[in-house]
Amino acid sequence: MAAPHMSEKPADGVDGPSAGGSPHDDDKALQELRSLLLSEEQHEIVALRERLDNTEQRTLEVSAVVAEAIELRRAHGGQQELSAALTPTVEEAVRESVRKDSHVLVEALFPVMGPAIRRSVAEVFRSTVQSFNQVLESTFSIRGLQWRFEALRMGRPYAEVALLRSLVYRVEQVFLIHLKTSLVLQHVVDPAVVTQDADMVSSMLSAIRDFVRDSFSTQQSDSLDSLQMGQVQVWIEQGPQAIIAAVIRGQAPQELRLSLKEKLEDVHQRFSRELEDFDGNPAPFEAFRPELVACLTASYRHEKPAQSRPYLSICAIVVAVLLAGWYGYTAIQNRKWAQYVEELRQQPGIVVTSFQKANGRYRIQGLRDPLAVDPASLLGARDLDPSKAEFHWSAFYALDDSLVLKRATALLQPPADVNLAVQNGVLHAAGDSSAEWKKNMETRAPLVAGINALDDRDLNDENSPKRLKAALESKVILFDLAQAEINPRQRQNLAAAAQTIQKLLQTAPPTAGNAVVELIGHADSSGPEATNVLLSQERADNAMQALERLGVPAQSLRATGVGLSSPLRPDTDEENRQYNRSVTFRVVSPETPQNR
Amino acid sequence: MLQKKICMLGSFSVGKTSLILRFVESIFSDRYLTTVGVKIDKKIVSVDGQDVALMLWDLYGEDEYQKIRMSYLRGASGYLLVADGTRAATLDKTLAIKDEAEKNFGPTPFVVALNKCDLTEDWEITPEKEAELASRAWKVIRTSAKTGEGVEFVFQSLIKAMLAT
Repeated sequence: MAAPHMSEKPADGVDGPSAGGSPHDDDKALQELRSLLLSEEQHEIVALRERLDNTEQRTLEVSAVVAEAIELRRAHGGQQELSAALTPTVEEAVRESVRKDSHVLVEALFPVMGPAIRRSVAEVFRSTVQSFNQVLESTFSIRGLQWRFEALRMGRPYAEVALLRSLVYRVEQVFLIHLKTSLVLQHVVDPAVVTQDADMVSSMLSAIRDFVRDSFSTQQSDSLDSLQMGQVQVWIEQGPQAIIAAVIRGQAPQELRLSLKEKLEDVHQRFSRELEDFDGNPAPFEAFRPELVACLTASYRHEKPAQSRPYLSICAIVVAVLLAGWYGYTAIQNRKWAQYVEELRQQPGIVVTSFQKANGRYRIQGLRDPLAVDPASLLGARDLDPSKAEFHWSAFYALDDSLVLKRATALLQPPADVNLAVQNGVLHAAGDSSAEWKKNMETRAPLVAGINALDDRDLNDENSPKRLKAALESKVILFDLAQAEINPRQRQNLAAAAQTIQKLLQTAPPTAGNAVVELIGHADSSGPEATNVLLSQERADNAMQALERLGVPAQSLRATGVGLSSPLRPDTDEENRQYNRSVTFRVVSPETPQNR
Repeated sequence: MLQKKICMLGSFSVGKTSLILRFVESIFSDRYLTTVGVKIDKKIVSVDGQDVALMLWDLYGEDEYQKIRMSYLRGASGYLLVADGTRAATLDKTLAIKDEAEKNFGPTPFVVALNKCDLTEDWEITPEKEAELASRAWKVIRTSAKTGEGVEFVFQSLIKAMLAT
């Protein structure tokens, strides 16, 4: 269009001299001149016009640069505008895609849905575990007990008190309020918080802000940016069209206010038209709800681990060890004393009637036979301190066999060769004693407490057949070498033998035709054996005759010569040979089978 | 849900709070409690099948000592202008408040409630005055918070006026 105007002036100048021509001629001339001068440009203009009018051509050209154009716009900082422009188209495209065939989108989202769900579940689980840990930590600590007491006093749930006391801050509610109408555009609230009607709170909040601003004649740009009541604060951020108000419990960091400002800027940027045209319908702002939900943050106090105080720990450990040691020592001592008392109860002659511990001493009370073991003597074996024992015994006679024996032994004073035993109240006496002691025993034993009967069958006094037999059989009448005559030096010995035989005959008189005592003649190895047998027989005969002369009845004696066949000692030297030149005695008891 | 802000305007003791009490909670109290500052109530009503949440701003009554804070009226979708039919002067005061509100925030739908219509013997507003208001194409409705007469109607009328704009 400019081109024609630009060509008129020169044309006027050219047409000046021919002013007298007809207008038609002038136009024709002008057209010819225009064709001559601008035909090429005119063709280009026509081509451009056709190109612009050709939709297919223009689409082709735009498609060639559309990607570069978008990239260029993003590079120059127009990303938000670009996103805003494309969002409706993309959203509509997604909706259309889902409507036509939802499987396409499902397949596209399938790879990301699983991880997203898992991450969400993990986050919830982590949060739950953290809360659980906090509850556990607080439950078993002094602080937890304080909170529990406080909960009881206030009549509120423990969990609520614990939560509030461990809370640094918590954004409980966030209001997005339309500035002009004071109506709520969006309201999000922590699920754990009980709230009033959001619309009324929002309106009242706006009224308060208006009241404050009007009352204190502040500048129009000034506004109430926070309210506080007790632990609760309301942080208010105002924009040209909307307000964000966050209800916070505790002390929130200033970063939260910055976050609120950013949200406010965001909502103004994304919903400027909706804010401007707001007619009471908050539906368009539902899309901003996730942004507000993100503001519902909270922080809880994590107790620092107590500073290391090694001396306290050491003291605590020492005290604990001492206590444990003391407890253990006491338990061991008690156990040892109990075992000791049990041992006492097993002792004959001791009856424990009571055992108790008082003032660190062990008091044992009961009955004790004077001959029973000394209880104090048993303490040492168990490593018990005698100074801690306190005995209270009453004396009594115990009828235990061992104590009865002790009692009898003490009274009867048996000789060394006498052995006493008590069994079921019967005193058994065995061994060799004098006749006097035996008689004395028979008289005194029944007086011993606990002895009901006496058994002295095995007790032998000097006149008993057994002892007489042994005495006789131990005697040896010696003879000189090759002699059968009684040596004068042996006469006393022979007389003693005669006396013993006579006593023996008194206790065990001989039966008819049976000798009681056999005299056995011996010889040494000197000389021939036949001679020795005769010699030994002669020695036995001589000894028997001597005994007869001493008063021993002949029928009770018998003489036998055995030569060297039964030597008293090995015939190896002169001393032994002397012994083998002898006569010995053997009591032939009627009860002995070989002698019958 | 659609939300609308309604401001109750009028002189002191004309029955603004009582009208809201009757409208919201269907009760009436003879005991007079002057409103300090502003009190806000909410009622959800259904108009032509559509639920509307009404935020009712009950402003303190204006008198010679205190004027209504205009900032409270910002963003209101409608005004309920309340006058005491037994005190004709309150109608003038209410209309003055309306004029000032419009001066600050422009034309806003409103309905005029001539309250305390149960007190017929003490009625001071003349039929000529009512006719004159009606001649301005204003909606003028007699109400009684005490008996409930006209209360529902006056709010419904205001809501329709608001939604019509």
